[in-house]
Amino acid sequence: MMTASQAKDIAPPHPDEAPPLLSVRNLYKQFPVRGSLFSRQKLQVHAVEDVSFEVRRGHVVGLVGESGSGKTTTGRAVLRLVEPTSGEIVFDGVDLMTLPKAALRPYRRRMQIIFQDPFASLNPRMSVEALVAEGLRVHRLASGEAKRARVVELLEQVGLGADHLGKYPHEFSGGQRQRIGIARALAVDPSLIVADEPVSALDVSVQAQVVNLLKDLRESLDLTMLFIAHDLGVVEYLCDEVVVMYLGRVMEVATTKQLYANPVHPYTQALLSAAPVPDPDARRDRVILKGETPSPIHPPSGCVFRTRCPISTPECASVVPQLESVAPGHLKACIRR
Amino acid sequence: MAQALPDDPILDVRNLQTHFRSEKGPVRAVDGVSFNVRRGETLAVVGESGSGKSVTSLSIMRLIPPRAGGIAGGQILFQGRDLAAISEREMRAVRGNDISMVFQEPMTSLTPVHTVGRQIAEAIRVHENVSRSASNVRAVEMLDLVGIPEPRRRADAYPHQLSGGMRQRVMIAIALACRPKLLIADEPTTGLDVTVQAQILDLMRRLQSELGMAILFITHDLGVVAEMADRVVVMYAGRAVEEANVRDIFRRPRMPYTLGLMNSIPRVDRSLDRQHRLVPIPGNVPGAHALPKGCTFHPRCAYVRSPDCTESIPALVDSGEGHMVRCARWEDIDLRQEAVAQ
Repeated sequence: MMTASQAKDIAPPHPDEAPPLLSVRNLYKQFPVRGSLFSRQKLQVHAVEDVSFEVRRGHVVGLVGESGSGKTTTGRAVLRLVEPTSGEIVFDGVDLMTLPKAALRPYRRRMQIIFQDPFASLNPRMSVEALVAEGLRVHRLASGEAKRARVVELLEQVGLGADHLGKYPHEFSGGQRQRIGIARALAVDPSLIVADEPVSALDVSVQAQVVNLLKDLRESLDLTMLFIAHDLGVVEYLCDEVVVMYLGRVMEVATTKQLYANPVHPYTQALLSAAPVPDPDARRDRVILKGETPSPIHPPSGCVFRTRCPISTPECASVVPQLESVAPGHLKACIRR
Repeated sequence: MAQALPDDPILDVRNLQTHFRSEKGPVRAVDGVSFNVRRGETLAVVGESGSGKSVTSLSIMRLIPPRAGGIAGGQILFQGRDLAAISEREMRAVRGNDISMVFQEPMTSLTPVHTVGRQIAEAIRVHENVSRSASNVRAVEMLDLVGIPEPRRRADAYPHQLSGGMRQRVMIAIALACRPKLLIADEPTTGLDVTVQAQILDLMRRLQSELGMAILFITHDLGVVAEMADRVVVMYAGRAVEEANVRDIFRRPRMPYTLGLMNSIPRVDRSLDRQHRLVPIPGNVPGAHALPKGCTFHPRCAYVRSPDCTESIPALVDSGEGHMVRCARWEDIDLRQEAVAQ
C-alpha cells in the first residue's frame, strides 16, 4: 500500500487548478478464481493493484496497456460496474465507494460508457430512437416531442440524420453503430465518459471517422473522458495525458507529449518501440521484450515488470516501485530510472 | 528480405475467381485477382473487411468448404502446376508440405487433446516416411527453432497450457516442419499484444532468412506491411487495386484508396506538432451484395469523375516499373503531394 506521504507526493501535478473531476486513489480489484477442478485452494486474480490517477475537467486521459494490464477493469470499477475491492473513487468531490448502491443513481447518469463492440452493445430489438432515448427515459430527462427533438439533435451531432430514427441496429455498419453508441452516451449530458476501446473493432478507414468524431465532440462539448485503448497511435491523437498500465499496476503517467517524446519507464519504451510504423524506411531500433505478461494470479514479487525488463536487477524483486515524479506532471514507477 | 533474388515466381495466381452461394445470389468474394510471389520474398496482401484477402489465401490452399462456394475460374500456378485443377488427394500432398498456412487464431487450429510435440511430429509423418522417434526429435528441434524455451519439456504441453504467443509459435513450428517453399500467414499476429506481435514478426523474418521460404502475408495492418513486405498488393471489394514494391506503395501511392488508408492511421512515429488531422475515407466498405457500378471505390473517392469512374470497371494497368494501379484517373491525379504532407 502507498503511505500517506507517498500519496501526497503524487497528488496534484497542477496544484493551482480546480480539483480534478475524477480522482482514483489506491484502487484494488481482486477476483476470486477456483484452482484446479478438485482443489479447495482459493486463488485471487490481482486485476488492479494500487492504481491512482486523476482526470481533470475537459481533459481526455488515455489508459493504455496490453491484455491483463487491468485497464478495462479499472474503467469499469470507476463506474462501479465491477465492485472494487478497496480504494477511493472520488467523483466531483464525492467518494463513490462510500455510497450505497441506491445513492449511486444520480452519478450513473453523470458517468457514461461507450463499449468496444458496437455489435454486442446495442439491443437488436430496439429502434435507433428508442436506443438513443433510453437514458432520457430512464433518468426522466425528457418526454414526448422534447425527447424526440433531443434524439434528432444527438443523431446529428454524431453524423447520423433524423431519417435513421426508425431503423434497427442490424441496418447499420460497424462505424454507424459506434456512432449510435456515442449518441446514447451523450444523451444524458454526462460529466464523464469512459470509452472502452471504442474504435478497435472498426476497419481502419472507418476508425478514423469515429476518432475524428470523438475529437470534434470533445472540443464542441468540452467532454471529459477516460479513453481505454491499446492502440498507441489513437491515444496520442486523442488524449491529453496517458496512464500506462502493466499487470494491474501503473507504470508511468505523463502528458501525451512527454510520454511519446520522452518515455522513462522501460515498459513504456518497449511498448512504443513495438508499435509497427507504416513507413518502410523507419528506423527499427526495437526493444523486443522476452516472454509474455505473467499470470495475474501469481504476479511477480517487487516490480511486476521485472521478469521481462531489459534492465532489472535483483533489487527489483524485493521492492514494489512507487510512482515518483520525474518532471511536473510526469510520474514513473521504476527504481532503475 | 530484399537481397538479390531470382525473379521466377513460385506462385502465380491468374485471374482468380472465388464465388460463394448465398440467399441473395452468388457473391464474388474474389473477382479476377492476379499476382505472383517470387522465391524467398514476402508479398503482403492488405485490405479491410470484405476485401477478399482471406478468401484469396483460403482459395490457394483449397480450403473453401464446398457447401459454401469455391473457385469459379482462374489458375493458381504453384511451381508451374495449377492447384485449381488438381484432385483433393493431390492437394493433400501439397498442403502442409510445399505450402503451409498460419492462421490468426492458433487455439482453433490446434487440437486440444494432443500435446504440441505430438501435433508437430504428426505433421511431419503425414508427409515424410520417418519413424515415430525421429519425428519426435524433429518436433523438439522445431520448438527450439521457433524460440520456445525448454523445448523438450514444452513438447509435452497441451495447447491450453501455453500463452497466445507460444501457441502461435507452435503453429509456426507445425507450418515449417516440412520446410515449405511457401508460407501463407493470414493475420498471424492479429489479436496478439504488440510486444508479442513484435516477437512473432521478428521470428518470421529470422526463419525466412534461415530457411529461404517465400511468404504470402495477409493483413489489414499497414504498419505490419511496412515491416514485413518486399512487395504489396492492395485489395478492395474482391479486386486488387494496386500493386508495387513496398517503398513505392508508401512513398508514391497511385490509387486514391491506398492513400486514403494511409491517411486514416494515427501514427506514433510523427510528432503531434507535425501531425494534422486524420483524413478518413468517407462512407463504408461496400457489402458484397451492394457493390457500386464502375470502380467499386468511386462512391468514397475524392477524385471521382463521371463517367470515367462510374460506368465501367477500370483495368489494372502497369503505371511504370511494375507499379500496377486500378484507377481510371491515375495519370491525371498526383497523390504524391498529399502522401508526403501527411
